[in-house]
Amino acid sequence: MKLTGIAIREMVRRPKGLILATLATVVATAAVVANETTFISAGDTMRKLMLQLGHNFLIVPKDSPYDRFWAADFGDQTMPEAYLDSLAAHPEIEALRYVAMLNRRVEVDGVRTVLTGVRFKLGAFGLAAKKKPTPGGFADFVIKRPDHAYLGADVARALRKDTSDTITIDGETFQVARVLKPEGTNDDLRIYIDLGRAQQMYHKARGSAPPPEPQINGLVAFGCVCPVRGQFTPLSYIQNRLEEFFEAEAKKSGQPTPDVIAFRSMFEARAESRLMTQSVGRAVAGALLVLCGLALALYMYRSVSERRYEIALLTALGYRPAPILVSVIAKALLIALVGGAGGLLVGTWVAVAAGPHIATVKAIAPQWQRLWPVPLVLAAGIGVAASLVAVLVVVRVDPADQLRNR
Amino acid sequence: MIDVKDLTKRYRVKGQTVEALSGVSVQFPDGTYAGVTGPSGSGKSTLLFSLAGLVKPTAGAVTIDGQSVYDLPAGGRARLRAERIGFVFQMFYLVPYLTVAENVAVALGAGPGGKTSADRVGAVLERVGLTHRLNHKPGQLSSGEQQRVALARAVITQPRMILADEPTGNLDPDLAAQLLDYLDEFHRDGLTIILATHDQKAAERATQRVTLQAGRLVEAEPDKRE
Repeated sequence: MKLTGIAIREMVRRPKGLILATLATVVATAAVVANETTFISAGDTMRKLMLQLGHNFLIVPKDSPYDRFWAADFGDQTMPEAYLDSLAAHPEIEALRYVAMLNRRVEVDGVRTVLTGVRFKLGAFGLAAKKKPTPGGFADFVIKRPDHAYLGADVARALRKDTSDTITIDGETFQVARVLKPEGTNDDLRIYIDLGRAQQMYHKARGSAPPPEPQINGLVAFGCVCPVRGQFTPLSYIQNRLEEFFEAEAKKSGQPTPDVIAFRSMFEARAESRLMTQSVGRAVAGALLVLCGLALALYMYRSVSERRYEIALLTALGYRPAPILVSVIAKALLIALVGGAGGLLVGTWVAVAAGPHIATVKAIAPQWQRLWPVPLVLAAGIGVAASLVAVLVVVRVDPADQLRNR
Repeated sequence: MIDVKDLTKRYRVKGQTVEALSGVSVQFPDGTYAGVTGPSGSGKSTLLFSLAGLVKPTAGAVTIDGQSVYDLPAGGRARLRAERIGFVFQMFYLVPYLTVAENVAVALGAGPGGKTSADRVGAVLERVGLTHRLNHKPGQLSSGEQQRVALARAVITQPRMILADEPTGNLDPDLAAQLLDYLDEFHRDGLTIILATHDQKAAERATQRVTLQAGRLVEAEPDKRE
């Protein structure tokens, strides 16, 4: 009879401890697998979603104080409105929609606000995706008439205006066509009007003649992608393409190259929240792995400390120390690997069943191919670590002391 | 020939030094039946374990057939035990979850190739009268039967010597006599037997008497066969 046979018989003899140690490994590795499966799968879903959503960019004239416009207005910097159409015709970059804007700080009935002239254009990508403008939201409305004004929620409240009321801005009268839903952003303090009308008012207020080319001081591109790449487009890639594009456009128009600013999209917010949940999941799984290691170490410790005389006997019978130690480590490894394999199955099942609720995605796909080494390597590590205590016990067994008469 | 020369073993117990063996020199010729006697704590077990390479002496040497046991590496000493030494203990030390046949076969696992021979196991168990207990667990056996299993385990590797440490200590007189008969039988087959015992009757069967007291050799009769 070999050591392997003895070890197997010993494990079978103590099924309770064996089952508990294996279950501990299953639970710990399943937690890891469930967490990773959920978030890999959720990440894939998000990337697919990203293909539909893309990144958001704001293009402003060079050195515009756009980040502090409430304090510093927008300055005198403008850029040609034609950028909107040429960007929409870009051969590589596609977007859901574009909005050209001309922003100016105004005061209406004692309320300081921003008058924003807007022109909306549906991008090729938006057309292909059949994304139609929907009511509500900064990018989703079209000013249908030059005498229409859309009021941000805070402005409407401050001016006590509602739909069908009229307001006077710089001596010009507008009908309130819609009061927008609160967004919780500075957009709630804007008054939106038709871009052409805003351009006329802009120059009238400044006492300057309108330039031959209509000007804007902001251009927003929502949901930009570069579908030629055939997959999720990194933000930096699109930003580079946009910067190259505007550099060329600026050269043509003889104006400074505008700044291309990426701004936070819903995707990024969700991705951030997803990463946070994943980190919490990893911490929990890590704690479970430690507990599992302790459970396995305890089982291994008990299994050798109660068998000190057997180890002494094997030494007296002529077994070399190394195979005895190897048999102890191999036993821990075997339990851990069986647990790891179980953890892969259980973790995947848990992820598929519960993952959609945790990661708020429709479905979680199993990740066997990507994840199978993870629980096995973790389990093997736990097995070896857990066997160290047992190995120390074995090494310290003094056969003469154990076997002498008592 | 086993040659023990100036063997000294000191232990540290709770900060104090205990001398288990003190300059013991004795020779055990091949084929001897040595009875090592002495009161408890006289060093009998320590001497036996020293002979098997399990207790590294503080001073002195153990030589078996000209080979210094403690000059061998741990693996070499393990091989020596696997091939040339059989052990019998007072507490039997059978593995409780293995059958009688498996307990005997355990000794074969340490040998070269580690192959288990069912025939050899069967033959040796037949010799100690336990063929009918082949598939029983130790817990199902009487103490006499358990010690015979231990004896079978000691001889299955066809060793040159059996080191028996108080093998009759847990047996009633009849079973003790029966076990000693088996030892006599193996001795007649040519095995060297070194028996550590309190039992004077057991010691009387030996052809060589060695008496220890407080770790010192107080009497060493030569082998009567010489």
